[in-house]
Parts: sequence; structure tokens; C-alpha cells
Amino acid sequence: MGIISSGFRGRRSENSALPPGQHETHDFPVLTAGPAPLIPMDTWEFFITTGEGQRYSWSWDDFMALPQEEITHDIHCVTSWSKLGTSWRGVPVDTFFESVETTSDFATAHSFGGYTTNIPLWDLLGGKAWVVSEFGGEPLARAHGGPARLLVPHLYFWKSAKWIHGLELTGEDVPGFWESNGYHLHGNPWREERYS
Amino acid sequence: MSSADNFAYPEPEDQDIDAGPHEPIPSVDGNAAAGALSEIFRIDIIAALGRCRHCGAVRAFGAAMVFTDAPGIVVRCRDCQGVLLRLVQTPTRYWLDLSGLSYLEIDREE
Amino acid sequence: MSSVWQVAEVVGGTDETDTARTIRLRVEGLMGHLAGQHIDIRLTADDGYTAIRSYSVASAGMDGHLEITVDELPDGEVSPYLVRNLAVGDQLEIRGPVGGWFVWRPSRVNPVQLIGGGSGVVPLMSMIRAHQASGNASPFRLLYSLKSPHTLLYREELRRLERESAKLTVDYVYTRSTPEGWPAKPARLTADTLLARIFPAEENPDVFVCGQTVFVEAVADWLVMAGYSAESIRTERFGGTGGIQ
Repeated sequence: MGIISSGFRGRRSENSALPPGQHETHDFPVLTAGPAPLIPMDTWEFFITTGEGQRYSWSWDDFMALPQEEITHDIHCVTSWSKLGTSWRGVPVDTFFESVETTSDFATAHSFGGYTTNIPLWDLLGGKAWVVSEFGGEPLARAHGGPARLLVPHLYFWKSAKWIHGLELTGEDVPGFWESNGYHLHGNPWREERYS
Repeated sequence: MSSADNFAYPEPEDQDIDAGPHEPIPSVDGNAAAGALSEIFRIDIIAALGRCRHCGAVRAFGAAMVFTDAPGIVVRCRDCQGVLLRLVQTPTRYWLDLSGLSYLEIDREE
Repeated sequence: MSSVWQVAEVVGGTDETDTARTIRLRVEGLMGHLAGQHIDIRLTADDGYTAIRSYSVASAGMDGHLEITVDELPDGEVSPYLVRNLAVGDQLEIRGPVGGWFVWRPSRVNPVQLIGGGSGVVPLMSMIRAHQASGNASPFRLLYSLKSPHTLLYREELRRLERESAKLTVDYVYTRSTPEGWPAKPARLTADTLLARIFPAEENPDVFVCGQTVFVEAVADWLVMAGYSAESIRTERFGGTGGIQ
């Protein structure tokens, strides 16, 4: 450990209901690996491609027509901040999968702009993940991944891909942008699965 | 549409400068990566010329776009936004991906 | 393997404004630095939480010491600690000085145009000081865009240098409030205001632009559109939170 700066606390508060190594914040830091892509709404889509060669696609209107849910959840970023009780609105990933047949176990989430992250299908289904378009009652800001992002709050937040474009189902776990550069393939904050 | 309002929104800085629409996610210059890179490179590479493997542009490393608000440092080509370099520091390792740079041309003289 | 981080000791400081402080550090083994470089400072809380931020070196090539000028950001995580809590005798972990691109060397012969927004003037001051201390005769111009006289950094020194040195000219652009008797009303910086106050492109100046990202990008765009070559323009954007590396 380095020199302790007496009196330095940073921008944090006390909270014991946090995964190991995390600190609570009341901000909403914008973390990003690149610039925010500009996505014209008339070309926006959410896709699912399967290992068997099928491609499913929903336009923005299709997405908006699906039953939406309000979600409240804590989120945990691998850089150590956690934000508790965040509220979102979107469509469960389960809903999209009602029309999809697959035997794949893994998915690569693709974002507009090129970002990728890999998630086991088990972590995307069973009420654990959503495609969301609202945060805190407002349309999702572009800096935070708008118009829509993936939300997988039980894993570190780098898995909640901003500017979500679609899910590519794969037979194997294919490391995404951060997973191929030092970060954990799975990313469970309660087991502190930060690094590979 | 939900995202229309996000393309150009007024910021406090607009009182001080007549700028165009703002990028929602600002980046900084190659210089911002100098400290972290000094943990790995013995000499300063910020003034070095580098060729982007994606688009072929040759520019000083200092002129690149750097995103430091991330689980790691991401350096992108200012011309094509392709990733030039990624650096992650964990408690036990450095992970350095230089695959986006075809070469670096570094001055030997101070 | 030895670390690039070293311990620096706070040996003095000066209040520049109500919210900004120049901090003087003793750095063992430091043999000068290039004007325009910066250091990274790492603060560690007693539970191990760390934060790293970059600060431009304001001083010019001293051995064993350097000065930074820190402006307190209202929602800052590190700057309030450095401006309000840090005391003489305290220690800081620093990395650097680093950065070999946004630098001015006395071996350059071109005129130098410095353009700073707010605390972006800090690395430019290092260049001005290095220029004054050297025999370099190139003319320097500083265009300093700032909100009000209350936020002006290096007030006395800039005034003195302008008076005493034929090789430095300073233009101030106040954007929110002006000093008593100022001939212009406060107004945001525009392309016209900028271009009227800087070396023309034909004189081929080395241009250094520093400030918040929005400021730097607007100014750089105006310069390129006005015919300054992109290669002659070097930028230092202040922005982001500095990350964890």
C-alpha cells in the first residue's frame, strides 16, 4: 500500500451491503472505452443470431411494443464504485427469447460502435437481464448508452453493454473487449471475479 | 424519439466558448496515458509517430484520443477511432494490447 | 522491479485565487523537466481506496523541486483535498514528470502561440517561464480565456513579464465578468475574437492549446479552418476523472 493521505476519503459514503472491494457512490460515473456512437432511430435494431444460422431482429417500434418492466437494482462497476437502487425501464431478455430456438450456452453482446462482452446464456435468462431504454424515469442519455443498453446487474457493470445492438449466440465462451485484455470471463462481483 | 435530445445539449462551458454540439463522451489526448505507460516503457513514447493499423494514418501518439474513464486505458486513432492500444493494470499484471499500432517511430535524441 | 512512483514532500504553497493553490514539492533526484509536462498524483485513503489525477507542472526546470497549480473543482474528488487539506510537510506519491509531446523546447525557433482556457494556462506558464529563463528570442503570445478576474492565475507575474519582457504578449478574454474599467463587455470566446489576437498562420507559430475538452476542440477546429496546419497545433485536454491507472 502507498502513502496514506490523512483525511482523504474521495467521493464515497459508508455502506456495508456492498460486494467485497466496492465503495458506494451517489454519482453516475460515465465509463467508456470509446466515443458515443450516433445511432439513427430508423436504423436501430436489436438482433439475436443463433449458432444454427437464424437471425431475429426487432426495430425500435417492435421493441417499444413489447411489454416493458420497471426494474430497481444495485449496480457494481469493476473500478470499485457501486450505485444502489438504480431504476430502469425495459424489456426482459427472456421476452426476446420466447421466439428463439437455440442450443447455444453462451452469447457475445455487440454494441453499436464495436464494443463486445461475453455472457453465459444462463446469466441472461430467468429474469436476470433486460434491454433498457430508460434510467431514473428519463430516456437513457447517450453518454450512458442510449437509446438502449443491456442491463445485467448481477454481474460487474462492464457486462451491461451500452448502445446494445444485439446478441450473438455461440457454442463457446468468446472473450469480449475487456475479457480479452485482463478482465474475468464471468464477472461476479460477490465472488470478486474482476481479473482473469 | 428518445435519443434526439442527446445530440446537442447546453453545458456550462457554452457560457465561455462558442462551441458546436458537444460529444457526450469527451476524450483527452495521448499525453494522458503518459504516466501509466511510463510504468512499462523505459522511454516516453508520447512524441513518437505511430501508424494506425486500421486506417493507415500516421500521427504523433500525443494526438490520439484517450479514454481513461474505463476499466482500463483505451487509446484510439483520431482519424478512424480504431483502437490503437489498450492497457489494463491488475494487482498482479499489466495487460497491454498494441495490436492497433503498426509501428512506433521514436526519436532517440532529447 | 522498482516502481515509477516516488514520494514527494510538500515544502510550500501559494494561494493563487480563492479556489486555486500553487503547491511546491521537493522531488528527490529530479533533474529539471520539459516545459508542458505533467505529474500524476496518487492519493490513498486508510481503507486502501486510491485515486489518481494528472496535474501540469507550472514551474520551469528546477532541480529537485517542482510546482503544480491545482484548481478546486466543486465536485472534485482529489482537488479539494489538495487545495484545502494538504499541508507543508505532507507527502504525496507522484509519477513523472511525463509527456513528451505537449512540450516546448528552447531549441525551437518558431514564434509560439499559447491558448489557455481557465486552468489550462498552467502548463503554458511553464513554457513562458522556461522561455524567460532561456536565451530563446522567439516571440511568445498568450491568449488567456477566463471567467472573471477572481479566477486569474499568476496575475502579478504575467503583468510583470509583459511589462519587462519584449518577447511576451498576453491577451485576456473575460467571459463572465471583467475587471474595473475593462474596455470590453464579458463575452464567450468566439472564432473571430480568437483569430484577431493570435499570430497569423503565415508566421508559422507552434501552437499549444490547453483547457477543458470542449474549449480545446472548439479552438483547434477554428484554427484548422483558418488555415493553421494541424501538425503545428498541440493540445492538452483536461477532462475525465483520470481513471484508476
